[in-house]
Amino acid sequence: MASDHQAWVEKFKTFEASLNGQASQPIHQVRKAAISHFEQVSLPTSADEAWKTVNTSLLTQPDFALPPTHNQGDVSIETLSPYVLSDTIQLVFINGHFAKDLSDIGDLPSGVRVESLALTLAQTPNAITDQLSHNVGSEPNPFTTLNTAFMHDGAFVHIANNTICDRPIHLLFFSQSETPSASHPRNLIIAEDNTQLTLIETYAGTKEQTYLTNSVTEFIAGNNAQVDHYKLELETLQSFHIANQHAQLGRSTNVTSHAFSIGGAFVRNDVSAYLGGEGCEATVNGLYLLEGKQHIDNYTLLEHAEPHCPSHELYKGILGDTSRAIFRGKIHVHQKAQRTDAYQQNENILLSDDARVNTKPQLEIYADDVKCSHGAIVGQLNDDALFYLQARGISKTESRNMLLKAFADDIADRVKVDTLRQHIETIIQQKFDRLYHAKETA
Amino acid sequence: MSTETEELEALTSGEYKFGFVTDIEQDSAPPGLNEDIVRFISAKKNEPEWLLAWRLKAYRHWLTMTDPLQRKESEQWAMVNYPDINYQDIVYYSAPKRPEDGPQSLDEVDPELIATYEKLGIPIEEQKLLAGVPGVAVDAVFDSVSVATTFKDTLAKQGIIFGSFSDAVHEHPELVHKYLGSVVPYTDNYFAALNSAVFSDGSFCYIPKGVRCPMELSTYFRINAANTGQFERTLIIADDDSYVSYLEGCTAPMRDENQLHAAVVELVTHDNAHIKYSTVQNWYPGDKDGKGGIYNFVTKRGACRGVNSKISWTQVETGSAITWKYPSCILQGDNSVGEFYSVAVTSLKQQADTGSKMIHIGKNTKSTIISKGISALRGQNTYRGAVQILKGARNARNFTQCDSMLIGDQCGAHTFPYIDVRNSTAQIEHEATTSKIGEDQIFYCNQRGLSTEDAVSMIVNGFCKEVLAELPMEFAVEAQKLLGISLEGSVG
Repeated sequence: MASDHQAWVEKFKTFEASLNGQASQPIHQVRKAAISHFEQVSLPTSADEAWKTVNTSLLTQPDFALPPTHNQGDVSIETLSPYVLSDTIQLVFINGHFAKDLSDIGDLPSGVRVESLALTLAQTPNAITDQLSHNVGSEPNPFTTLNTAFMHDGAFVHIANNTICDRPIHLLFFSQSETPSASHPRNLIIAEDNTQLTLIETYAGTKEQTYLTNSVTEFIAGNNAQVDHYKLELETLQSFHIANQHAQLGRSTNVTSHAFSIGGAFVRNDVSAYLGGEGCEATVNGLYLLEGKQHIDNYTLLEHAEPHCPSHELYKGILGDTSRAIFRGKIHVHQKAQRTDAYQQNENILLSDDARVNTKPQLEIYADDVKCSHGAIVGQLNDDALFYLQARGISKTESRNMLLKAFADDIADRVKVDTLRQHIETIIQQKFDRLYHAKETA
Repeated sequence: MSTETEELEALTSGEYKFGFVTDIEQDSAPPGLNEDIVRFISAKKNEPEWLLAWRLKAYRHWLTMTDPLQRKESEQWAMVNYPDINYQDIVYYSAPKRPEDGPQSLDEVDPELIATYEKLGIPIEEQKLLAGVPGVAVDAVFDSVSVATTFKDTLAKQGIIFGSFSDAVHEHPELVHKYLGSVVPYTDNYFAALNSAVFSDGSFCYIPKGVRCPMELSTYFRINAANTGQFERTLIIADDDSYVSYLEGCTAPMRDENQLHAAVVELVTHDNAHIKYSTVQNWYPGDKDGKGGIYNFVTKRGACRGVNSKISWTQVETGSAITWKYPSCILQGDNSVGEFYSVAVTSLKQQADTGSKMIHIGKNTKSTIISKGISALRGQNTYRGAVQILKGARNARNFTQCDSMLIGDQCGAHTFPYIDVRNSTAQIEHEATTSKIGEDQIFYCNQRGLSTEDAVSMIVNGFCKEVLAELPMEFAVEAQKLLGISLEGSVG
């Protein structure tokens, strides 16, 4: 483990050398501070409570090179077509670098700023350097530190006071490289007071390639803001996806986040929200569908710091083959956060005896006038329901499909953007087909 | 609000009833821990060579382990805070001094000691019990040694072995040798290793095949001497088709310094056997600023080795400055059943990190966890439980319910269940809630002429009813009273 840890530090030197003029910018001090902090902590092991039961040895296998800088010419718009969403403000990133030619920003409403982070860093670094130097989320995460050290591009979105961004913003991160490489996209989304925004993230890659995406997405929402976030993780089945997503909520702000995890050999999602204004509301939902040897780890934290805030969390998963899912959700209620109403639920269906699920819903409560509950369920398809459907002439495969679809639709139906919901339903159905195929040929 | 605060304060200052110290001649080892102390304890007990060797192995292993407090921050998981324990300041052996050969009957036991147990309301005197209704056989452990066991002969007629651990080592070495450390190996955790090295006494119980133990067996633990740690070990074996109900109770004097209690309890059930283990833990909890009190770091585990066997743990935890324990069941035999019922109350500045572990190995194994946590004043109450379904455990079933109640805004209630499922036929359900006593509930009672205090006590008792119902009758009464005392005045 130590050698891998050192390898990252070595890579930073190469990265630093490639930055040319940027090394003199204040942002570079942030990077340097991050890498020296990373030097002190090490990569996580499964002895760490935040990574317990995670097969961290998977992380040490490939040696990820720095991503090739300019090979976006190889990626055509056709390659991206399965992931493109119409009628959105679309930013495409190839190996973590903004690809202007493939993107479609169009005319932005006034008050809306959407651009690549590299551009912001080059032109108006002072506006965001401060924000980027802060910790993301309240728990230390070595991979976020790495992201900060290597950050160079991503999306910067700024919605000014009293502005509604009527088209969803779609960030598409696509990885394609011959050798295993790592990208560290960094997204900063600022929604000021009385704003409305829908943000979609898609992560995908070229078939059967191994790479690491280590992304950090941070939302800063002011008062009375409405932010809807959707994340489609469609990485290749050989890839590694590590993401830290954090939202900061102001007074009466409503943030919803739906994460769909379909791809990736090793996926770790840190999702957190800080309910820092009275009466704000957070929803964090997730769906994970696993086949083969996929390994997914969802780690969520909802921190209630102010009174009168509801939060809702529902994570559902279907596990086939020898896949492995870990869920850890925490609701932390500060002493000041009276009248909190928090609910958390994790449901899992195991399709195979070789699949494994670890779930750990947690409550940490320091206020007395609260209503907090959580639940966890692990089970299988209900035999009675299957029989009922079969007795009515529906084939076994079709019956199973119906039941699983109903299970998954619980999350998918909550997507408010119609085109996106249809897109997600298609993806889910394709995944189901693969899960059955594997099952029936086995 | 202010009256509530006053009432709360009134409650918190509620005296700990068992805080007296008994002035009795003590035979103690010098403080500190090294191989000589381990040998000293072993020699005091005239232990056979194999046991000394085992203790020394445990001691040497303990030296290689890291104190849970010294772990890296990212690897620390328990929600407990306490200053470093200096293991060299602790007296590892302390016993009431007694005539050379030890008491042959109760008459020879120091009258001072009998008086102590009487004060505690423990019926140590056989006559009293014999005169009374069906009795409870008691093994009393004072500081580190077992001082008296009642009903030994009655039980022996049925082939039941019940008595102090040291006696069992001499009288039934083959049983002790076979089962000691078979459920909790000395490598298990830091405190289990420490206990294995320096344990001084405890209770031993063996129920032979086909015997249903006719009375409740009971052990009372009392820490008396200052600066001592109590390290007792309990081993209960239920052979095929047998049944036993076992009770454990504990108290300690009020002292300003913290005292360590690191016990190990091992249960083994064979085919169709059933052990019911109940604890009412009332060690000295310290004062309202968290000064003094017992550190109760205990490893309790039962192994359901045989088919259709069953182990149920019931605990009422009201004392100790820190309670840190997870009574567990290893469900090895097919169709075996594990149960855990717990009420944990933290008031004053108490901390509790407790729960259960159910490890499903056999087919059709079932487990139930019902945990009720009540936090008042500045108490921190944590439920931490693990449910593991291994690959071979087809049709395993678990149901877990954890409810927490908060009384006052300075306390905390936390729930950390760990669920690990590796079999697709398993059915696992976990649910937890946290709430305070509803104002409407209190209002309803007030309206019907009940004082707020009575209403709270009624609601708390109702909240814990599911668990209290599992306790044997005598214990249930005691537990209810204890709950009352622990929460007295904390009405809000």
